[in-house]
Amino acid sequence: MNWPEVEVADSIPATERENGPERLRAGLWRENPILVQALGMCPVLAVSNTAVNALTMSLATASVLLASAIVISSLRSIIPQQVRLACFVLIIATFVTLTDMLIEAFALELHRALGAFLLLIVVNCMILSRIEITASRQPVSVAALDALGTGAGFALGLVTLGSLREVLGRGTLFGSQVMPENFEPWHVMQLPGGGFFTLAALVIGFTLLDRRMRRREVNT
Amino acid sequence: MTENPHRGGIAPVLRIQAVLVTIALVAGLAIATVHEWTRPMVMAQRGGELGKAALTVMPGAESYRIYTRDADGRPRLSEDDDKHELFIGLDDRGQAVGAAIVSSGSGYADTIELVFGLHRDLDRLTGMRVVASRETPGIGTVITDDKEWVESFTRIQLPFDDQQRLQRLQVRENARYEDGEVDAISGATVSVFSVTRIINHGLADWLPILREDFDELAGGRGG
Repeated sequence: MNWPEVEVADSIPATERENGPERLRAGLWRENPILVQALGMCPVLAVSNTAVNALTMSLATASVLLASAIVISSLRSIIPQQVRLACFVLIIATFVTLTDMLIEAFALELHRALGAFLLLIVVNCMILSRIEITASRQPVSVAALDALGTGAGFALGLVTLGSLREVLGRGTLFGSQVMPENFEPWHVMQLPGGGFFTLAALVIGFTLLDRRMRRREVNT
Repeated sequence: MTENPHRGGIAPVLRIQAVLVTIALVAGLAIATVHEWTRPMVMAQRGGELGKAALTVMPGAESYRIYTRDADGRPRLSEDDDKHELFIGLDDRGQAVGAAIVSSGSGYADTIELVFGLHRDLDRLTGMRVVASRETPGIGTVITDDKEWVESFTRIQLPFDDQQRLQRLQVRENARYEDGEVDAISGATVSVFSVTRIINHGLADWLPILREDFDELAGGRGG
């Protein structure tokens, strides 16, 4: 059957091919989803009370992002533009459900700790933005490197946040005691308020470090 | 510019639908396959976790029989995919030592799931363990971390009225365990009341059944 043309996701403007390695670096630092773009803040604040929770959440999010980016980039020439968002969400939701089931089967305790936030990866704006901006318009290699960079950047922010909150809020890191025995844990760091304080401090620190590095680049 | 899918007849609409349906079918197939693969593992882990907690709240128990409830609310032996709702603890000679009831309800932050033990005389508790909760760290988590409070459940007598009807456990400061009272903890009021309420629900659900069928549930070897 000879069907008339249906505009596909790939035909959206800005199909200029981007540089994969550049996208990888950008996601990790310059366009860090947590520390620069402030995307996906809900799970960031909710599950960053321990380093293990933060690491699991970042791995789950990065895996969903990478798998979705590869599939959507591969299908970009057949996904109709009119229903592209429905297709993207359907594909992302599938990978989120699979990830949720696998974590439940292999790490029940972690699954309980992450609660509903695992399933809420479906509506994480960081994933939707990378899919819409890059995966639906770029070849698989670029989409995969972009997803890897963004996922690694998300993990960098989340695990740093989780480690700081666990050390100050419990005196442990990845469950091992790292603070002196007489250290009185700051319970507030385990509460949402502590998440905000730590995130603010981390963003300030990151911005100062980034500025210093840029200044040094200009001077050289 | 977005193309109107209705321009050019029904074919573009059909194509859009074909793409959506195909993606949904593949997604459904993948989810069903992984679900079938992981379900037994999840059920085994949950069962093992509950079983471990059940043994700790039934002193003297070496093994147990697991029951669930059928559609009529009657207990029946639990199979692999069933929810584990009641454990009957057996000692090394196969004698029933008591029961462990799985019960859950809302806590301060999320659902609290716990297991509590009941002596075979069905007149006192023999322990309590929270299996799952997301209470406020450092505050509501006393329901799992405060060893003294958790151990106090081994001493609580069930309160009955003159007609031997079960009364509710109450939360009190300086609780009298022989009167069915649970110690209050300042700062963790909601979590402590939640645990007490969940135990009351579990008792209301299971005690009438256990009074009637305990020996039968223990395989005729209880008592």
